[in-house]
Amino acid sequence: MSGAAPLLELRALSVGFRGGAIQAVDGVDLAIASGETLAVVGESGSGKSVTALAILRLFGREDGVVARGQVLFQGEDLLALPEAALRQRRGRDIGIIFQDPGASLNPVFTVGEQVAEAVRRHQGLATKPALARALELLREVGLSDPEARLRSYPHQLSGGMRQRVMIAIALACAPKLLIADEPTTALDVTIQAQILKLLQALQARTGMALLFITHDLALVAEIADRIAVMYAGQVVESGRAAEVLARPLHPYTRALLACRPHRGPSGRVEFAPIPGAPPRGRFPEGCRFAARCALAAEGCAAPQPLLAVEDRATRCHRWGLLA
Amino acid sequence: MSALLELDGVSRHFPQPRRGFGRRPVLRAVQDVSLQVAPGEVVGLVGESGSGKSTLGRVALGLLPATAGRVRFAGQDLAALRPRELRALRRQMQMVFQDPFASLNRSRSIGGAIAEVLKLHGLPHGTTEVAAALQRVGLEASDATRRPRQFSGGQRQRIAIARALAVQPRFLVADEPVSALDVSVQAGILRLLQEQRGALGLAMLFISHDLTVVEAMADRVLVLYLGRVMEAGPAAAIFAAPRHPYTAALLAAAPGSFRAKLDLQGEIPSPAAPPSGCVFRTRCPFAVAECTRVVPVLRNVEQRHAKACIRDDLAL
Ligand SMILES: Nc1ncnc2c1ncn2[C@@H]1O[C@H](COP(=O)(O)OP(=O)(O)OP(=O)(O)O)[C@@H](O)[C@H]1O
Ligand SMILES: Nc1ncnc2c1ncn2[C@@H]1O[C@H](COP(=O)(O)OP(=O)(O)OP(=O)(O)O)[C@@H](O)[C@H]1O
Ligand SMILES: [Mg+2]
Ligand SMILES: [Mg+2]
Repeated sequence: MSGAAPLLELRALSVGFRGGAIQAVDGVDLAIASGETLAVVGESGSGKSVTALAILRLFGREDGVVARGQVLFQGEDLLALPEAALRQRRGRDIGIIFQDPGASLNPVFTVGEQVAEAVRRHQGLATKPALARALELLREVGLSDPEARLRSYPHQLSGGMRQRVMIAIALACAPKLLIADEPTTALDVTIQAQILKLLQALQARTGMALLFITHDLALVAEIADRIAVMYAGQVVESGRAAEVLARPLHPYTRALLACRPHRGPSGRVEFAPIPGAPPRGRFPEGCRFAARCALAAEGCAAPQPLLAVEDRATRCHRWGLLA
Repeated sequence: MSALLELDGVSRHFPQPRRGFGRRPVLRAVQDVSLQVAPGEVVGLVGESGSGKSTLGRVALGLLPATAGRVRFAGQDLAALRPRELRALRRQMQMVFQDPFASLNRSRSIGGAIAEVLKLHGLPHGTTEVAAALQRVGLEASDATRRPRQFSGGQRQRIAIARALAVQPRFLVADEPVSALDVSVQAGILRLLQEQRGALGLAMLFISHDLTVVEAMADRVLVLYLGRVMEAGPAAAIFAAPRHPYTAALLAAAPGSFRAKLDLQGEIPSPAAPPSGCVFRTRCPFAVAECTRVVPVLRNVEQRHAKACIRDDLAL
């Protein structure tokens, strides 16, 4: 990371549900500077989305959320901020693209109304110029026939189109930080490339920081400066993206890279899961990956702190065996 | 072998809001698609966003009526069935929707949702059966009491798969079933689907924008563009030697592809106002004058391998 103070810094962030009975995120430290792209990857259920939602405290009352630690945005702790002040940050300073595009669009308003509303709210534009800007945004995210799409309702769009409408809404406010939770899962590679170009151009122009949650490792290699790998609520490895992908220092990262579908000797595409499943809700004392790890040894039953290795970090005391 | 699912010249159009006077425009989401799926066969459906994949999947299951053409399942014409008969067929044909959250009832526990479909089809629906369905997709028996919003995105996707497979269907439309999953969990789910296919002869229409996954899963592949079939054939042949320029461009765009990039020009036209002649011609690097006039018919280039392109002189 550069020498400048980070735009966003998570310090020992922990999030539990049902008053803490279910532990989802456990002591996460992350930092991201303006203009930087940090990718968060990890197994399904490892706490990526909960980490993202905790930054803006986007939980329901019924979730019974208990959050500890600090979420420092421009030096200010968002966790300690009253709801009204936090609402100001949402959408204006920090934009978010949710993992579920279908669930976050309003079914009774047209696409145009929803994008224009976001533009109006954050840039204080009148209705006409807001609609014009909305049209431009829809064009930028690659929707064909954007004029017609303005008048469509969400259910009249395809999955990938809805996802791009979500992206347009998040970009409408030109945020300082964009949290993008699996923003391109429904998109084919050509459109995905177009979206990435758009995000990168925006970063170059406005210095927007990008927190990019994804399971697509090829994508990470392409866009991320740094990467944080999560497993069972913790960051188990972090560092410069190219280095982590080329030379992982945690057995989970290595195992994850190895199960990418690949062409085997027979010429057929092969794939195999990491055997076993991660602990969920309640975590063991020691290394959380040990039960599935090929390198597990006695010392792994003890708690594993995040170890600094040059400018990288790993939560495995046996990392030397991988290096 | 006789087909389990048979689409014969199927189209699905959506009327559009009128712009000014004149005829009401229609959006041709799916246009004249024919397809047969045999028991135990997996047909991959690929094409850019908006090309009509989800719409075709819904039409194939009778969840959306076709505006033209015929859909037959196990020899029965879906349009001719009474609602009660269609409901009985539903047990044999299931769908994993692209947006799992929207397809799950938010106010209901996921165990309740799975028990409900089991019950609806007269199957045992106790805690044991529900637990088994959840465990197959890597979730826990204790998850049964929780609501959809209490799960991660990938967990919800697996819940949708668990529910669809619980009734042991003969045919499954899987619409981007692994799009929210990391590679390890994805591999587990793909294995599960392959097992179902081996053990129960499950046939699938498998929709994915991840071509490597399609290559791993599909026997045959159908390539859609603006609702029309551009190419259809055995998966191995299509991935090794595509015959249609659009297929070649799609394959070349995949990360790590060794194929020479084939840059598509311009943008996807509006499906409400498709180009004349070949709908792909506005983006095709090989288009000639004739392509604006002639609608290319889907014709065999080999046995069971067809393309809709008039040019036979291309080395792709
Ligand atoms: N509202 C909630 N109530 C209870 N548990 C929850 C809630 N939301 C999430 N969880 C649990 O917290 C854990 C972390 O969830 P999270 O959504 O952060 O996972 P994720 O890393 O984003 O996974 P995915 O890749 O599948 O989206 C999961 O085990 C999930 O079941
Ligand atoms: N209910 C509807 N009303 C009007 N138009 C619709 C409706 N459903 C789909 N469409 C249109 O039909 C076309 C095909 O949509 P479809 O959802 O089948 O695409 P898709 O291939 O699944 O795309 P994606 O990869 O983005 O999911 C799109 O132009 C879409 O806007
Ligand atoms: Mg998530
Ligand atoms: Mg779709």
